[in-house]
Amino acid sequence: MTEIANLKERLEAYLRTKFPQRKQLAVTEFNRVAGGYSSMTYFFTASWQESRAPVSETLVIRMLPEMGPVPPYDIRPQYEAMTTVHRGGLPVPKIHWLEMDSGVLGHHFFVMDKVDGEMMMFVYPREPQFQTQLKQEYIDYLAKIHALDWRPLNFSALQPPQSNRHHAEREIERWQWAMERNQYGPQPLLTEALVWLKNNIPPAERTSLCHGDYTAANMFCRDGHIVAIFDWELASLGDPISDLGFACMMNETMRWGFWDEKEFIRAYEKASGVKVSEGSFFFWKLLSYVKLAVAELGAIRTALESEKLEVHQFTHLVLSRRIFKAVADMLGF
Amino acid sequence: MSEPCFPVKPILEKCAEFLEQAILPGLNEPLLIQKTYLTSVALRILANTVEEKGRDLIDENNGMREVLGRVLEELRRKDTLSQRQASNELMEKLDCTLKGAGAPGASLSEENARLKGALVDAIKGLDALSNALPPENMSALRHQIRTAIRQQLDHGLAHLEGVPVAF
Repeated sequence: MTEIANLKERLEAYLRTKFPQRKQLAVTEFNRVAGGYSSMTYFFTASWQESRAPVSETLVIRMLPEMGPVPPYDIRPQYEAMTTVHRGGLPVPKIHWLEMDSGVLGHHFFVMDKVDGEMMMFVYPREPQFQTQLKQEYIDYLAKIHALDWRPLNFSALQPPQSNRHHAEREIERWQWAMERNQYGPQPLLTEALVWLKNNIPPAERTSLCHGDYTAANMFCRDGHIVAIFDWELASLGDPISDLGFACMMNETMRWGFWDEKEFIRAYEKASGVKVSEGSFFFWKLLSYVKLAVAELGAIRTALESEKLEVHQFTHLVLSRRIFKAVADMLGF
Repeated sequence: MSEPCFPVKPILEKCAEFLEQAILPGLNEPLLIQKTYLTSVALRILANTVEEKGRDLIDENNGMREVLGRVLEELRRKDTLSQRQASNELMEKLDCTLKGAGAPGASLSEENARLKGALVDAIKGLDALSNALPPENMSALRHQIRTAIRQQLDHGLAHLEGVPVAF
């Protein structure tokens, strides 16, 4: 039996136990979604009888492996972040439940709504009539995420920083660990960058819920509007400038050309009412480059160790070079 | 009689050209087009890499040996370093690396990896000793380390020259 068929069977058995009132429940479709560096995503359709009428529902399973190229490997921060943002009225798929018994499907997972749409990174260049609107929503939603009051929520997994440097210290430590684990050889450039970052942490002026991977590749659009923000696995509580740095880094690295950096910062300042410190932005943009470099190293290492090397994996070699150059240029090498 | 030496770079470039000019124009299926295109990209990267790699590695290895030697010399000069244990550990690692440099049987790539490992140790070690060395000396050493790193980066970037890759 293939892995997919096995998972489908296990899911069906699990759903029948979880929803005994749903008669003749069957999983009629079960597919893995490609993409992502770490999480595994599946669509499934469950069908059953309710008052003798057929009912079906298509939902999404999101699960994290115990280990992978990019930390963390705890699904709860993602769950807590998405639940909070959804309740805040922002476009995030609704999560139906969290399953922490890894015996069910082999890993912890949650089940969420399926949202129809197309990735913003494809829609934006193709539909110039929607660009202004999409850019504004992109920034507005970011500002709103950062403005959410997380304090009354008593998160168990998302831990607030213990000082105004702690978020940055935590992130540096996390990516240092991931680099040493992912690398396929010593990395003097990234080591030098991490040392610089450690010695130049700017104090955070506020603590917000941060997405951690806020890019046009993690958004769905429909009819010119953002309808879903995905991939919250790197969510944390910390300095919200981290999200700005990451968004601008991705815009540059992937050469999307969605906005001019200064324009983006001004728009964020206007939407949030908060001034963005130049030093903080520089720090978080540099750390974002390091984060992506480490993820690329992991992808390259996976490719090298794989028995079946796919040619598209060569793109990681090119992308990593581009990122390394950006790091060296930022540090003035 | 010695083995014939194949001109690897032109052969790889020819393969890339064949894919681009003879195969790609006849394809319709998007996934196949993408895979064929990326295969030609991979061949061009390899073509650039294979001839240059030997020369680049020699230059990089020499550059790293030089900077590591300077770091070691600087540490030895400072007998009264307050963080003696940290400096002794670093000196020992660098000494061991430099004495073992160019060891018979080690390939250029293996030597390159070993020296890079020592460079990483030097970066971390100097950070730990940052208050123990005069700022101008520390700054000079950091500059030399960064120059060595930049050289490696530029070699890596040169392999991508002329390689058209779109995301």
